[in-house]
Amino acid sequence: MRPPAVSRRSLLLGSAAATAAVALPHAQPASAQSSASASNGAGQEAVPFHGLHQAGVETPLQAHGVFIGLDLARNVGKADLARLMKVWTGDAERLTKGQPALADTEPELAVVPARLTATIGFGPGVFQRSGLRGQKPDWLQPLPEFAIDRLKPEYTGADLLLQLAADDPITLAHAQRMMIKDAAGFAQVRWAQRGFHRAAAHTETGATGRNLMGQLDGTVNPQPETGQFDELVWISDGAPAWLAGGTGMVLRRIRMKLDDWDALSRPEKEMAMGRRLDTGAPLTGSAETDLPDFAAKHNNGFDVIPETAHVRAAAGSVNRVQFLRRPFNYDDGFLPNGNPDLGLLFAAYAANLETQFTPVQRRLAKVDLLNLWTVPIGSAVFAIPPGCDSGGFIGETLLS
Amino acid sequence: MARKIGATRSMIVVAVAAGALALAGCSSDTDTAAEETTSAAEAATLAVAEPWAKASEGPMSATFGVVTNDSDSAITIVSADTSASDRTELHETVQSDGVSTMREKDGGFTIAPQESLTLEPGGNHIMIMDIKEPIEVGDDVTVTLNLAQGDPITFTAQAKETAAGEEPYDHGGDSKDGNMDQGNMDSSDESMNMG
Ligand code: HEM
Ligand SMILES: [Cu+2]
Repeated sequence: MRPPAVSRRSLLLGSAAATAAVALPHAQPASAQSSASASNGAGQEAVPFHGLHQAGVETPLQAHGVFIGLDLARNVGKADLARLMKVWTGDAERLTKGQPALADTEPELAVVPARLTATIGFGPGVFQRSGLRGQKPDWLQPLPEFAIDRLKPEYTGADLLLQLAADDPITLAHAQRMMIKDAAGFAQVRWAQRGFHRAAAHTETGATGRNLMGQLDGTVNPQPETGQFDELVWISDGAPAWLAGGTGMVLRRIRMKLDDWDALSRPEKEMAMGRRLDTGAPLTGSAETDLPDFAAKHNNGFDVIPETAHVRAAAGSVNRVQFLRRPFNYDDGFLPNGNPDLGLLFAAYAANLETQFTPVQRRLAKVDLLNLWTVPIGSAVFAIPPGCDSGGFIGETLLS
Repeated sequence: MARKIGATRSMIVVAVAAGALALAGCSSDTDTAAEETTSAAEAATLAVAEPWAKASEGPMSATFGVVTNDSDSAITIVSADTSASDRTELHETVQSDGVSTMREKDGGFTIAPQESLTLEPGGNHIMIMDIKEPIEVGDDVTVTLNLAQGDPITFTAQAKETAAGEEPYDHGGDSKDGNMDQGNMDSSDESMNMG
């Protein structure tokens, strides 16, 4: 018998710690923990991970979200990406149910599912990998440059998207920790953009959220599980075929210059948007869901909703819902000049970004008065593959 | 790929060792046990939940999970086979003089009726020796547990990276220690990295 080797860990922790570690009782079964830790039942709601489509798109807004952009390691090819997707799928299957991930180092943090969703996207860079060229949808490319853009590389572009959202910030932090840890060696985080809405308990599920300008943001949107949603958001024809059931996604990080914005009067703010701040109703109506009447004029002949108003510029001559907007607010402290560093993580989903989204952004870049108080500082596009069933994995239609 | 992962792993091992040590993979979930087991026979009375294996470049790896005995009599796991190698041992981890050492478990693992056995880094585990080719993150390892009572049970363990569990192997001093993780070639670390 040679003397046992002294491991780095034993040196680090000393003998007491090493002994204690083994003596510790095992964690409770996850099910027991769940019921014990959520006495009022809040947070126990789980969003199914499996399905035709990935969760996190049609899902009513959660209180917290994070968009993580990763770049693939140089040597990662198709088979490696498939392995990462299998591990991420396994993590998401468990964590969204409130169960610890495999090899979860903090299983106690996993027990509150809190409507956790994990949504995975592929950026253009994925399709430069061998075996995957030629599989890129035509619309999957960086947006054209707009005059209003002040894009920063640290918020722009990425090979992979991991979009996580939950009603509980610890649930979210834990899912992020596990899944990013599991991507080690495959991909490196380029950016992580965290956002939020009102606490779930303080709002009705599915209600329109407010952005940090105080506006109701998300009124004109396709309604989940309608034919309109299917048509605008989910890819059906599948060009390319592997994307059938998936969608396209744009993430724009848009800073709000709130100090300047707050110099406006309330009516001026409402004119810039074309909607009321309190009810979110168009200036030509009385309820949030009223259709704006862009032809309506004041007695003096001026438009009630000016041509430069955000909703009018966005609607264009189409004047109907064109894609899904599912934004989160961000508030990351203060800039060196003392201005607040906050704004909107503008996330939009469309079956074809090029034909549905880009024309709107082009119009807004030209005429939207809101541009005086908002600055796009990040931009990224992704193809969101379809969902998967139990036993499958996200991306299998592309990678297997 | 695997080499790169190994390097990352060795860099973070110091930082996470303290947290990982106590908790890694040691929760059990009897609710999901049944659905996660592909039973080789109808009469199988062990269920395995949360099965996973340690990604490794070789020569060793390990597999973990929570094995539950739902029957009314004790069941002993006498040996295991895996798709990753031709040589598998049942290991326990023991403490002496403040050092964790793993060694073969005499007589296998006996699980009392209605009890479960947690296989985890730094604790009991199924050691996979002389692996044929690297087990990469996301790979599936098929594991069969041979029982003293009844038919063997088989399950699939997904390979994951783990920083936890670096016990030296007390194998009677007859063979030379190697380091199973080529990414972890820190000369100050003499332990084998086996789960
Ligand atoms: C910080 C930046 C932005 C803010 C604060 C903002 C805010 C709003 C608000 C309050 C509404 C009205 C309520 C609603 O329908 O949701 C609206 C509508 C809309 N916005 Fe934005 N938005 C911003 C950026 C963008 C961008 C970048 C786009 C697309 C390129 C966009 C496209 C739209 C569309 C299509 C509508 C619906 C227009 C309609 O048909 O009535 N928005 N936005
Ligand atoms: Cu061992």
